[in-house]
Amino acid sequence: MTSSQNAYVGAQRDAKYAVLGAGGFVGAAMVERLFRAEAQVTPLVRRIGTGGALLARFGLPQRLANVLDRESLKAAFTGAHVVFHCVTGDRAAIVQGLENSLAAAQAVGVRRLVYLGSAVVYGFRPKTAVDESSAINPPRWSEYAKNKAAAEKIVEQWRGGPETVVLQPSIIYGPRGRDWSETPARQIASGTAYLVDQGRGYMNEIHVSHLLDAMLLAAHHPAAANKAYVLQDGFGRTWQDYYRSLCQLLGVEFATLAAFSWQEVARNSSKPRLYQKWVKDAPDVLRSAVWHDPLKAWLKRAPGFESLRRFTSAPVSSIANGSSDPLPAITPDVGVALLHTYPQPIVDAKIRQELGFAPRLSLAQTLEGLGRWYRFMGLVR
Amino acid sequence: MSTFRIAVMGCGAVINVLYHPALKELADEIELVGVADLNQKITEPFLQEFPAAKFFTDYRSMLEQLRPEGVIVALPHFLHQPASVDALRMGIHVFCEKPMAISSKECDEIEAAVRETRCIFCVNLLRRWFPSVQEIKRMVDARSLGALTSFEASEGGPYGWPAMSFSFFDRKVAGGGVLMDSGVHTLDLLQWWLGPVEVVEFLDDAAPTGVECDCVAELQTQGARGSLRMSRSVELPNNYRLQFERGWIEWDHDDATQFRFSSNHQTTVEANVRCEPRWASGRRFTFALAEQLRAFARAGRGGSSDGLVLASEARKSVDIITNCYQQRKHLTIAGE
Repeated sequence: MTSSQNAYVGAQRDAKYAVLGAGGFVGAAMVERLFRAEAQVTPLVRRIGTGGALLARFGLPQRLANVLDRESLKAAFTGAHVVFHCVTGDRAAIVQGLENSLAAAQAVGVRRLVYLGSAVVYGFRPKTAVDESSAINPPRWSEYAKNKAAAEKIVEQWRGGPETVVLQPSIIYGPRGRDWSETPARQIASGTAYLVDQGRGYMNEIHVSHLLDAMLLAAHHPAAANKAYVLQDGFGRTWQDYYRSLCQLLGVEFATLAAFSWQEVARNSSKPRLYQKWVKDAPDVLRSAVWHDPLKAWLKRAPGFESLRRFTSAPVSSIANGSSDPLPAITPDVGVALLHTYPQPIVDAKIRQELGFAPRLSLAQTLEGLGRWYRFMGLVR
Repeated sequence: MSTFRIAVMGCGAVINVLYHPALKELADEIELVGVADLNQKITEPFLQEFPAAKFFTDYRSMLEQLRPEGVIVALPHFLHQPASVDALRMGIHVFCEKPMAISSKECDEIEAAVRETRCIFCVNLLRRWFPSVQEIKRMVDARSLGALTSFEASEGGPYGWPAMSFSFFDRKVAGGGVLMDSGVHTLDLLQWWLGPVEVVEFLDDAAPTGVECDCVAELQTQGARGSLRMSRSVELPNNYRLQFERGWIEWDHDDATQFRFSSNHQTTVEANVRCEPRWASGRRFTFALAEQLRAFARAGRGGSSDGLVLASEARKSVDIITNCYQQRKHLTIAGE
């Protein structure tokens, strides 16, 4: 069954929706989806800002709502059948904010609350394939992962309504996505993009349109009540695949990207203990990739990587064109490095079987949308 | 000479960010006598700085009681025209925040009131006072680079104006979105540098009930085609490039002292305009506004109005925007 044939994937005109975090990437996209479907939607924003400017396209009355103020949430949720909770921020906003949201939804009789969680609760580099039954294991060094895990615990223990559904995407991308669509493109355009261990790790991405489909399924499907689901597009893309596509869209030679090994990143990181812990916990095959120079040497010879720049803390020159022009120094992020080496696809069979979730855009279509956005931004050469 | 007596209508973010420091700098030349706003609380910091100024909730009462020589109109966009016309008809000179009004028709009404009263009416288009912008104007007028062949301008970034309400996002109140807001500056410069600008095509992302966040326009002037991109959602290159037969000029928006040009398409000249060092500082907007207010006071006392952007000139950007909105097509940048 494709998404378009799934009766639960569309917005329901007789339902009233409230979108908390409507100024964010996913929240604003959900308001747009509901508006275009002529559904009744109330966008709830924390402050007047960029999100408000995006929402203003529709002329919908926007409401200010503070997740740390339960009473303001009750007023905002009154009359809503479904609440999409798409809030991010500090620990208070993520953890206390969710508890307040659930309590407010309960108080005013909201039927279902869809909470946008994250697969990060299972770790940045889990040893085995992740699905909903995997152990919650946020890395101690990631405040974000710990906060999201604490929030999930609140949902898990919540009783007495509303029904809850937790969606756990990993990498959300698409036009207007800052972290995984805008930032990599700007890095590629400015010569500061990099891949760790050649980006061979699985990206486990989900396009924002597909995530919206899943959120609507979560809002409407009877089988979704009080369940959690991991999800991804299922294109089987690696980070290398993704960066190759972005390079093509932007008109940049893939071979000019900087390359790091995990070992280099860890050695130059301010988190040496993390590195030691990772090495201790890593599966044998990956540990060998880190430690054994012969394997590294083999990887270096892989087609397409001959001219990749190597890590240095000082400005480096492009090997690709032999010029001596200084290039920007790059300091890889350890969290990104872990993601670039993610060893296996997330297993999202449950949402596909139980809710009939199926991505409807092809890989080419998702890239076409990104290309349009990049052209508007003036990033395409 | 006595100080020029001025009053303020509307005390939103622009007053706090720009006018407050500019009027402070001009305290010896311009006296603030009154402030009108529906919300007294938001005027408090301003009134503390200018204790002689009186507060009013009704701008007409303020104008009648205080009879200032000039008034600053900083109300929501949809009130620029009625408030300006009211003041002009009372014989009060008007310094209006941009845009002049929200349609060509409203600009007609202001121009009629100006003709009728012979008062000064000008609009805060402060970039025209930047030394870099003035130097580019001189270069273009001199035609030393040959005829214009194309042009490109982009301005935008995540919306960060410290707005105090959602009024900027309301079509009836704001008259439009990013084009009506910062686009006024962009189009004013393009038409000032290049001459009359025609709209070939305009696309934006607003539903009929909303205001645009992002937009794209194809424009034409001097027979040359050009493009404009504006955004409230994402950082754009924020520069202007004017391409001529024998070279080009490039200006990064809001740089008051520098620009780049080439007179042979080969070598690039980094131009640093000789000017007072203050123009290179972060307070250049305050200085540009203070210069305009000083010129406004001078003109209000019968002196020269040189440098002020008067009604007939200020309306040109509103005319272009009106044309854009009349032929609006839907733009899909990131939506579904």
